[in-house]
Amino acid sequence: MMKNRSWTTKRDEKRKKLESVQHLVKGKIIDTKNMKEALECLISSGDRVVLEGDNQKQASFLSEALNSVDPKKIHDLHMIMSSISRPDHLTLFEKGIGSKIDFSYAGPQSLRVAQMIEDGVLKMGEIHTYLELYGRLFVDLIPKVALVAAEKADEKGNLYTGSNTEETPTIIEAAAFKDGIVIVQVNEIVEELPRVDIPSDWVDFVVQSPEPYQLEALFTRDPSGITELQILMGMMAIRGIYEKHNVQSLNHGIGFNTSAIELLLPTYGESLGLKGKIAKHWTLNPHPTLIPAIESGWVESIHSFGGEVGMERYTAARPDVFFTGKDGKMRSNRALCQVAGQYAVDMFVGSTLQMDYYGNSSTVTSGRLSGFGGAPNMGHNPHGRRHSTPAWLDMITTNSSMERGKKLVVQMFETYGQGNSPVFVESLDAIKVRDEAGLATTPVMIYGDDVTHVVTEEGVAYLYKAEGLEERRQALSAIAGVTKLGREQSPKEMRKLRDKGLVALPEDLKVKRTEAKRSLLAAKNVRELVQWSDGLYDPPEKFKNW
Amino acid sequence: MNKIAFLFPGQGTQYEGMLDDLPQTTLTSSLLERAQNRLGHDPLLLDDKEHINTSVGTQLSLFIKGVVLEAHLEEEKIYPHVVAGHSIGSFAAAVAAKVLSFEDGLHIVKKRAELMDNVGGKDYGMGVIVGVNKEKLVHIVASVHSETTPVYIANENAEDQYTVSGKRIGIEVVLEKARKQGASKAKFLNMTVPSHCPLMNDVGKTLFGELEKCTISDPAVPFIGNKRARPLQTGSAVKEDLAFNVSHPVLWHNCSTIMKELGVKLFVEMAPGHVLVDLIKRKYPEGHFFPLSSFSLDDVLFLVKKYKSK
Repeated sequence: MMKNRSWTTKRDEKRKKLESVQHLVKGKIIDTKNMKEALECLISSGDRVVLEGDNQKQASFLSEALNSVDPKKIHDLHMIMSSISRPDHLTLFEKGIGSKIDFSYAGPQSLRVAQMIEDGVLKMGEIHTYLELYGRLFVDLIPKVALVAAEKADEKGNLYTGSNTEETPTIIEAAAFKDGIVIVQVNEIVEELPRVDIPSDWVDFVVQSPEPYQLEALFTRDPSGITELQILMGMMAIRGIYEKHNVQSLNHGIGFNTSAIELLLPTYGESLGLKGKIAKHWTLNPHPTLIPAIESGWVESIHSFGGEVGMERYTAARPDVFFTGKDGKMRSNRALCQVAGQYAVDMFVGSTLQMDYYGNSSTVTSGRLSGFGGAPNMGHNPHGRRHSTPAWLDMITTNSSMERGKKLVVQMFETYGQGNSPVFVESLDAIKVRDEAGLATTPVMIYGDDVTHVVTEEGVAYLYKAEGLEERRQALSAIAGVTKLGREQSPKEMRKLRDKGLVALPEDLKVKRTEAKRSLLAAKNVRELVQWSDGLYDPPEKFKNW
Repeated sequence: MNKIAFLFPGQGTQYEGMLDDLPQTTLTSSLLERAQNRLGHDPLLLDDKEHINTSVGTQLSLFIKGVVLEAHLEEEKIYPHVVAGHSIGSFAAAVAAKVLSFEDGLHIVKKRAELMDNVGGKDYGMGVIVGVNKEKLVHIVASVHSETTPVYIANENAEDQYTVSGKRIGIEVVLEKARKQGASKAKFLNMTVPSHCPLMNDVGKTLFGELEKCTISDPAVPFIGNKRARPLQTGSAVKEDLAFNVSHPVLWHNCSTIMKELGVKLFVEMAPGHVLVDLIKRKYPEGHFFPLSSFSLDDVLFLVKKYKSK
């Protein structure tokens, strides 16, 4: 029995910290110009600090403010960031304000991350999927301080996050209910909020940012960039996967391959009589290329990780499809959408830069440390799943009484990728990166045994049917074109694989190569997307070329 | 505010008379006068037909042009947030970052050129290879390299653009193999000096000794080093990079990537040429690129001011 121990050390410490800034705040509002001093009072060296930044929305002002603190007063913070995307995220470590990092994705800063780890400037925690990282916020990475962004606050500290709710509520919850300190930058402090997305009880301080938080239009793909090869692959995917397995619910990645599919549904999909039969429920951000499918009545529901710049008026006008609040505006939630994308959908479709001969894939390349964000989350078969759907059951290949279904995990890419390098490689760069960065495991994005289908311009490989590694390799070889792996294939083997249903070529799927034309896209450019949206979509300036 | 990088090109861009089209200003005159005092001869002789393709002529002409043009930008209060030069370009970049004085730079660059000339000869040279990736090239070079046929990867300019350095008999085989493996370009460069490889180790050491005699300051803005593509913040780190870039590959592809990751949006490349911005541009549609060889100084000043605040 520990009779004299205090059970409120964290609460006491928080109280002291809050008292120490009373001269800098008015109620919950921190004056913008006092931010640096307030941070120096509220944060202690060595604290675990979550800085909000997923790949779209960034707590940019708080990030700059944290960079301005005196490293003699505050140093060696253990930073937790789902996405390392801004240059100043890493400057923190160069200055010594931070020393250790746990993260999910660092694509836009992947060379610097690798260099700083090599130089000992940055101490690596672990690379996570988004959900894992959120999970650990409630287990062994409970934050002392959360620095997050919202669109608006009222004087009491209630928050409005609007369509870009993203991961804000998750981070705040982890800090607020474990005596952490929650500091929120807002674009505006108003008398009355359109709706309350996060209640003031969870929030300690609000600061008005001199500039709106940074927001990137990451999910906008201009249809004019879609090639006829991608259209061919899209047609094969629709016939050979969506239709064949009766896929009802799905997540799409952000590549041109999947935007091609989105734009083929109302044309090619319609001509196959598939409307209302497939692809009805979606977990993804409001991709502008989905507008034609939504307008043609294909889509019943979309739940989103975050918003997309320019889609605000459109999503608000389609509440039957999108999740919206009583104010009429969309609400997103990154953590819940990741859960939905992991457990509740039939299929994930994504892309990769490299795939080895057994279907393991990764987007990390030598000398870069990027992580994968949400892809491994959605791109795997969750063994805890117990509900069934037709597509899930369709993956069963034996008669065992203990057999269960499988999530469809589809990888789509052209056999030759960036810089004319083959995507199929004998050994993933990720293995080198593991050694270079001293990681415990190889940073694989999606493991080969989770991949059920691979689509290239050559055809579809049905990997879930492959018995053993050798057959998996043969199936991949059959669609690997003229790459080294593809040249292993003999016509005889190919025939065998096609007969067994392990591989389908366009002709097996009744897809005519000559029909794969850009005229098949429901919208051929951003302007046509605006027209489809009835003028409700407001594309960012850089996508307006008319 | 958008960040600006000043870029300084390396060898290959020089041309006869390249110092004749410097801005006609008192600033240019005073810098040329300082060069004359330090070198002991008229600097405008460096770029004539007889000298421009010698190591000394090329390197000093590029250095002087880079420093003069950069000084004009500064005179108009256009300052970089980061500087980077390719190989010899690093020295003008170091002057721009206030690491090295113009005078010391002249002395060091001249020394570097003279020392490099001693290493080369008709048996040595460099080649350029476009259209193969690094993994392939590393493999090819390793299969050819030997004591009698030394050949090395010299510059990594882009994911699919490299130069190799060494003895011509070795380079020849590498070029041949690269062509067979799909290189769209694989040819000798018009050079007899095998730069950026271990054959230059002694040059590096001597240069380091020379640099020890100069006054070296910490850079006013980060200086992207050639050797490891790091944003360098101390004078001693820049000094080390300046001395030894000659005996190490220039990791220009990583230098470009780092500038992007540091948030640079505006790239101003000193004349001559626009090789460096072209290499970055391919992979950076959001960037703005102003090579002084294609834009007048006035245009660049106007455009930089316009885009800086965006």
